Amino acid sequence: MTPMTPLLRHRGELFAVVGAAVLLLLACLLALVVGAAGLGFSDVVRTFGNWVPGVHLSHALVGVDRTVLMEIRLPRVALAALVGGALAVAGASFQGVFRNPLVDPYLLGTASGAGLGATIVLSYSSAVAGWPINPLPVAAFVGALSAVALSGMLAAAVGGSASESGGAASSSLLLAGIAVASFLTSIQTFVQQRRSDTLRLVYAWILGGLTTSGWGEVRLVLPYVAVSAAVLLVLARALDVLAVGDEEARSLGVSPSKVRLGVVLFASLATAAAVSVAGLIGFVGLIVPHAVRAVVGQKSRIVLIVSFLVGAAFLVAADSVARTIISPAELPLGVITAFVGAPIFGAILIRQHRRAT
Amino acid sequence: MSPGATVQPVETVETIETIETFEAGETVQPVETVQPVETVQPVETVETIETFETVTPTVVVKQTPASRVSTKTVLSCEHMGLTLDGAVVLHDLNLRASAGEWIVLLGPNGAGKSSALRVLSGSLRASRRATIEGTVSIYGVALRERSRREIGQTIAVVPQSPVFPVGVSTVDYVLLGRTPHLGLFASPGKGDHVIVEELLCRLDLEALRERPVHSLSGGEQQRAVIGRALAQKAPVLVLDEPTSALDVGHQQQVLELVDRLREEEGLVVISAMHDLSLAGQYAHKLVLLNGGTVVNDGSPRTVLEPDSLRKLYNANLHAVDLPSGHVAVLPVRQNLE
Repeated sequence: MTPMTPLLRHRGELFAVVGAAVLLLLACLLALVVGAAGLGFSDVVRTFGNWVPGVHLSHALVGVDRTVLMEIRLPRVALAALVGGALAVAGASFQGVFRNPLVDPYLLGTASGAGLGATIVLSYSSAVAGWPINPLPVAAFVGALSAVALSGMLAAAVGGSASESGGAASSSLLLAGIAVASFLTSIQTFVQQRRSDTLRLVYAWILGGLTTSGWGEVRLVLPYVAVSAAVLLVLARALDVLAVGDEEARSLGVSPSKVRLGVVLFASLATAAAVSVAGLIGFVGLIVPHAVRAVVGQKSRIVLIVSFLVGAAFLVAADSVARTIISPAELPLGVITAFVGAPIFGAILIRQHRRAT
Repeated sequence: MSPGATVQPVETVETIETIETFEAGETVQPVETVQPVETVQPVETVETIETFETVTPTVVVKQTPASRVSTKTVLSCEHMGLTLDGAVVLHDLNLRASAGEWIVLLGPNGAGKSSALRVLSGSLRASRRATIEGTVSIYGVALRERSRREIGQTIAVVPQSPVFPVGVSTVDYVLLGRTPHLGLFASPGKGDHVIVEELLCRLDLEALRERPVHSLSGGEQQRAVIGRALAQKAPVLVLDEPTSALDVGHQQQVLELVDRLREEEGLVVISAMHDLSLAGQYAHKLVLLNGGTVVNDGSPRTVLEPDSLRKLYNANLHAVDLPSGHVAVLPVRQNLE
């Protein structure tokens, strides 16, 4: 068996973080430049260059172009980055805590819960027309978290959530998630069938996509994403300790059930926040952590940081494609992520299999 | 007082009457003086008082040396018992280990060695399924009064079949041993790295530091686990069958390594072992378990007594005196003996 040394370590880890950050920056610039209103690359760069204290560049964007950049494209790029980062971090955390590479952030019924919440709002939106805030993200958020709570309670009733063996706890939680997901999906389908006039809206939401009206959505999800990402980053080392199994982790002074609970809670919170504004965008939370692990190794803290950056870059780039490829219409974002993500995922699988044999 | 006083006079009515008639005013004193005449009852009470008096001092005598020894005693367990799912797994286990002492638990499969180590190391705690009796204390503080982190700072465990995470380098694996000193949120600092580097050097793991720990050979992995345990800088090292997966040469290497570290660091080493001869050569004290109870304990020479071992293990054993003064116990084929 050939030793599988991780490609990067120590200074390499810093290199990976910087590389991912550069990737995100490039994706953002690309996303800001492409679009219906043709903004020049250098003009965009100059406009941001003027943010740097002491720098005064001519030919910065003004007027409508500036408004397009600052109030339409920039918020959308920021939202795509936040959603992509949140999904990738949540996916990486879930994969770490369940020691299962097939796990994605929509585990534990998050997707079905959010889907049910969104479907209810979209189907009966006439009844809530005059609301001061948009009820759609709130309903999706509440639906997602309720589903996680249900899964947790079901697993606890099974007796798995804090039991002695970690494997049993994990699998009972996963199975509970599957049960809750199919239950909520059945209700969602029922609601959907009753209101066939809103079928298209619901369908579009489920495929995922970003719609922004100024900075409102960014402000809505930023606190949740920031807090969950920070907590998950803090729990990353404990997650690495869990890799030696529950009994050994305990002998090293770590309580596996507490770590697991914290990770599941905050990864679900990040996912719920992302889903509430972006619908169900697949594959980001599954392939990004995979790809990142293949490059930076298994250290959770680095995996989480790089996953956030790469996930953000991936979704920013995917959203640029979604906006422009069939312009003026928009392609659902989930279509792009799956179309691009699935082949990448396949390639990673083949590469890992070759390396392991 | 008064019922007893009334009952006793009734029995001695005649004699008391005579006395009472003599001294009507002093009723109390005569009763006391008369009662000794009736030897039975007073003697009984005196006896019980005497036994109480004699018992209390002996208890005190027993306690004082214990507390005096506790400065030297690192780990002690008293009347330890374990019931798992209603089945008694351990019963009345008593141990006392001072710094630099190596105690080996012996016994056939299912004797309770691993269970004893799990309770001793605090990894098995009382729960719905497990009832634990008695106390395990380290430096006089009961384990159950310590947090998991504190236990991790005082007891390091080398499990029988450790889980080696995939893709983790040897140096990072050994660094995991610093976890109880870091708390949940901190990262290992310079001091932690210094400790780990020093251990890698002592355990001859330097060349393997960047190699993924799961890809190491059995002997290398065992050294890595011991390294992780030593990184905990705990005064007690618990090893469950540390040599069961190793060939003869690596068995000796690992045991010599543990012995050297025990001597250098003054560690208490408690291990479960199957190999009677190896156990006899490394342990200061052997504890022979069967069915969860101690059948014999003491020095290797007293415990490694072939006749009793034969019955216990249902094996044909032959004791050999080694030039070092130790005893080796060899399995010998019956019909060829």
